Amino acid sequence: MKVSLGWLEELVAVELSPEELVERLTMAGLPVDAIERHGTFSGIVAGEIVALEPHPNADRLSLCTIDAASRGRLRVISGAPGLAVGQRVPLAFPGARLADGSAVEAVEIRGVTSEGAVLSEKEIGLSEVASTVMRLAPDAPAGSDLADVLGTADTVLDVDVTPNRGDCLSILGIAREIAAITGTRLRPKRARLAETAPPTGDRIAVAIEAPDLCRRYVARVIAGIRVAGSPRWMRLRLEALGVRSINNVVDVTNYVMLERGQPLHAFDLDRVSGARLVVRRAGADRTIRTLDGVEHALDPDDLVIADAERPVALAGVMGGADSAVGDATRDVLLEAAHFLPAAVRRTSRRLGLRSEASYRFERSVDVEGVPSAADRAAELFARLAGGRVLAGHVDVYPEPWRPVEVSVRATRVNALLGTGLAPGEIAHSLRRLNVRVATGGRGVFACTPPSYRGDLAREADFVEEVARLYGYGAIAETLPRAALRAPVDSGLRLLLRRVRELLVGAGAIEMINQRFTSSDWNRRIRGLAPPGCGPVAIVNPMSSEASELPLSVLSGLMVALQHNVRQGEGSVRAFEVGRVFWTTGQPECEERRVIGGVLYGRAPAAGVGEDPREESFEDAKGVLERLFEGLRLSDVRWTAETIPPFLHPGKSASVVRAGDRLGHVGALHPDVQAATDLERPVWAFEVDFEKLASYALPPVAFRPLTRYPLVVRDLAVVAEESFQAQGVLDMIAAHPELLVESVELFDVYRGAPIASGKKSLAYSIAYRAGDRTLTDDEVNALHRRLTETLVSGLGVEPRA
Amino acid sequence: MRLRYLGKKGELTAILRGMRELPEAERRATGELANVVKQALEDALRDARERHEAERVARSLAEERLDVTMPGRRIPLGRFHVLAQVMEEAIEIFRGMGFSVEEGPEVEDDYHNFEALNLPADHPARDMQDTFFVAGGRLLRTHTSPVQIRVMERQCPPLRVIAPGAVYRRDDDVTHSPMFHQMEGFLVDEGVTFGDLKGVLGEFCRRMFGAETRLRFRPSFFPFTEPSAEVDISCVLCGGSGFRDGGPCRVCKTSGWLEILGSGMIDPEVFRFVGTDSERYSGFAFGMGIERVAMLKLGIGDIRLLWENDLRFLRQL
Repeated sequence: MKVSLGWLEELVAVELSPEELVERLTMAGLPVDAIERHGTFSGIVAGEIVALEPHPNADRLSLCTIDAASRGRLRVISGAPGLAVGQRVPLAFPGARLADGSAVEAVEIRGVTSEGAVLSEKEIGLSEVASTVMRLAPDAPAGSDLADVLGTADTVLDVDVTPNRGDCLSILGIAREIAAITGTRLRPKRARLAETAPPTGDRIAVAIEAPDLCRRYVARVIAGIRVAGSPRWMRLRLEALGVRSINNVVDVTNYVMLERGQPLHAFDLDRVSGARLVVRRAGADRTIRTLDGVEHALDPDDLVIADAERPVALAGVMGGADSAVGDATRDVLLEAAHFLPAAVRRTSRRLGLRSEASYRFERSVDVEGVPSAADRAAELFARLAGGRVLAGHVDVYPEPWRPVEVSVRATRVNALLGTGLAPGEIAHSLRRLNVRVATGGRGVFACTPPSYRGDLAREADFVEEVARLYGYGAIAETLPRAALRAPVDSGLRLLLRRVRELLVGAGAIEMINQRFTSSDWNRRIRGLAPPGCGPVAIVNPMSSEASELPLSVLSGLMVALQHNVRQGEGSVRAFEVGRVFWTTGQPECEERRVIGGVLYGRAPAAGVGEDPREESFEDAKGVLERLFEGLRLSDVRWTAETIPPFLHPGKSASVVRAGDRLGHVGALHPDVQAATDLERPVWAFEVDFEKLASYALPPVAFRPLTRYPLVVRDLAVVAEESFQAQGVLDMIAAHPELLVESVELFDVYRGAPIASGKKSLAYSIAYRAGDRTLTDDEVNALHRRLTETLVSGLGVEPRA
Repeated sequence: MRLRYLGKKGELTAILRGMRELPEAERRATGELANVVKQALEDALRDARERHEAERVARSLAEERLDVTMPGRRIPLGRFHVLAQVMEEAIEIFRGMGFSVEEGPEVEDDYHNFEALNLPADHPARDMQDTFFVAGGRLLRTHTSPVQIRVMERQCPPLRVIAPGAVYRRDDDVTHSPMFHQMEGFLVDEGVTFGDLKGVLGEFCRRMFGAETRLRFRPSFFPFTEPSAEVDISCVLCGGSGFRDGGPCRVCKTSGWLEILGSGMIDPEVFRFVGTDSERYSGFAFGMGIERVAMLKLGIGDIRLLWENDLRFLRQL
């Protein structure tokens, strides 16, 4: 809400500098976003013509010598008619800005230098008159700023008004607030009206058929007006507040709206059919053409103002084109009303029609101030458009406003604020806000807010008002007293942190992506979404690239990966704990946290002189193995079955625990990779964090350390190429009697002398008994039995 | 030399071994002599060995030189995202004051995101938060405040809770992104005051932004708090003077203050929705944007840097 200080001064004495006022308003809950200077003209002063002579080399030009007192004396060339010694005129110094944006310069005209310029009203931006130099008052002091001479200088504050304070969306509202916070009085302003016969009711009848949506409707008629431009003072004020001047009729309605906060609408009375207005729901009426010429479809529940035939206005939103005031309008029918905020909001939102009027109606206008706003407009119509104000209002007000009483306890005020205010102080604060405060004894007040403060309905609302006027800054900081209870986090937070620490420890950098993706990415990478589930689409997305919630964290990571590779990054190892969403068509959607990661390009650097190597399946799997080991999750299995379609079927594994698919790891499918500009293989993984968290991770318990020595034997077996290394581990795990403590696969070899199509796997096997030292013979026997078990059970051969 | 004289088959050993064959009288003298010789030899040998070892060490110290400027063998270093770091820091401060951490869903229903927070349908305050909708009338939560409702629905006071997480609004420019992070906090107990709100947030801001930080509480409006307060801190760059390096401060734009938190006393209407007796209990709630805190703390001007996931950026912070 823009507020002119000059205008404000008409309603309240502001005894503060603009900066102080801004500070006080800000600390009272009305922060000021900007302070603007309006109506000033830099480099333009009043000058007196002290000499006038013809230009030596040009017939139509004259050389004026203009005195600007302390600002000096300029010789200026002008071709304008009617200049005479003694006149006061606007004088522009070089550098002065004109209304069209150009700057005044000293120029040479036919051998003589013009050191500045005398200006027309158009050049200054005051009117369209360009043919003559503007004349100032004969007593205008030479050398004074033009703004001071014209009295146009004004300061405009852009006040940020919160949605609960509709009453502050006017000069009057801000003036009331200033009066309250500075303890001054309002300067009451009553409209002075000269009414003439006939009574308004003879010309127009009003009926409210939807009293639930319209609380009050006031009509006035101003007859015999002449539509023309508005006077300068009004145009300057409207423009300073960001409202374009149209003509005196429209300008008056806007002016009063800005001043009183009550939106008004002017109909051309001759174009209202049947001399009758009905406030009703649109019902069977289908369309209305509004002032802006647009045809809108109506909803049966839209509130409209209709004449005898058709809707002539969308209540509180915009007037109709057919009944609009035009140049030929003679008699104006003025509407001032109170519409239900929610009704105005629904219609204006649905039609995308937001206006200064709808903005104020949505935030509720003062139902008791409706007639006075109509009177103020009528007064201005009579003054500026030559109209006759017909006698009286038509005022339809089915259920007049009744003051509400709210009990406010001084003890409660102090208990909520942590203050020790005396009851008298509390009452005094509230009275400054025009709240009627009746003392009910024992520090309980019966408080009646003024009609424009509908937001004061409960005790807590009054507590805020007391705090606001007392000053939030004056309330001392205290620390709450509470039982010394240790915080209980959901266990998941700590588990999540552990997961992230383990991944960071594996050299991965954490990323956080916007959780929006395109339908393309969701089609390409479905992540852990079960078959039959679809992505969650956003009804009102900001772009098609961000039209769905992700099915997989990999979609975001892939975009980030590509960004980094384009920046020249040759090595990326990154992870994210993101959220994924899918739906089975139910209103509720599935929302899960998923750990995702990508590995790309060079593996984290080797030492100097060692060959760099590319990230591989083993690297990606290693990151996950490290994660599971760190979480003490030992029974995870890796299988080549049920590989999701976005991964390479031969270079990927599913991560399974107890028959439950926990995640996957592998190379991106070539088709998916083809949709990116990445050239090297992308290794990706995803783990369902919610599943991970659902596993009761084994409690950590100490196992006694065995004192007996470890004996290590190597074993190499030759197997078919298709043989899976896991088989050996499973077989060993199935034979605890072999006393194997640990197994490590340390080499895989293909080539001579191993037959082609086969590979040699070399294991280092550690034996230990818990109760004795194993002898060489015992170990040899165990090793032999192990070899036999593998050979017979797995079909491998011992390597010679 | 040690082997020649002192070894198992050494000459001196042989002499000592041969003593048994000597006559009694000679045996004693020879034995003593042999032992003296043996001792002398052993001492000399030890000295020589020590000298030799010392020389070797000295030579090593004098000659062996690694190029210590060669890079070490790199153990890959990961890093937490800067937003996560800032979030953790904030969480730690509140945990220190006894706040528990809670979470909630990001796809919310209208009831928890708006209605129970005293934001009825068709209320203009809904304009403050431009909402993304998904199918089934559900929406992406516009703030972390629904966690307040969810926690109060299932737990009774006293409560001290913070709820960090992602939230969504239809907004996209240099300082806004459609998804961002908030941290909600609330404390409900008997006798909680606005002064307590000031105290706890003062404590937090001074830990987060430095002990010199000053706070300013301004009246504002949030449908779920009454009274409501906007919290400003003194500018992290210019210290609140509004000017720096002889020019207007680029962070606070000469105001000297930075808006950092929204807060207030929990509205009785919210208590009514969750069935808490607002006569017996009172409480305060607050919310802040983690991105904004991170940007102010680290001097980041463009929010998009936080979302680009550029490794050069992530490795820096």
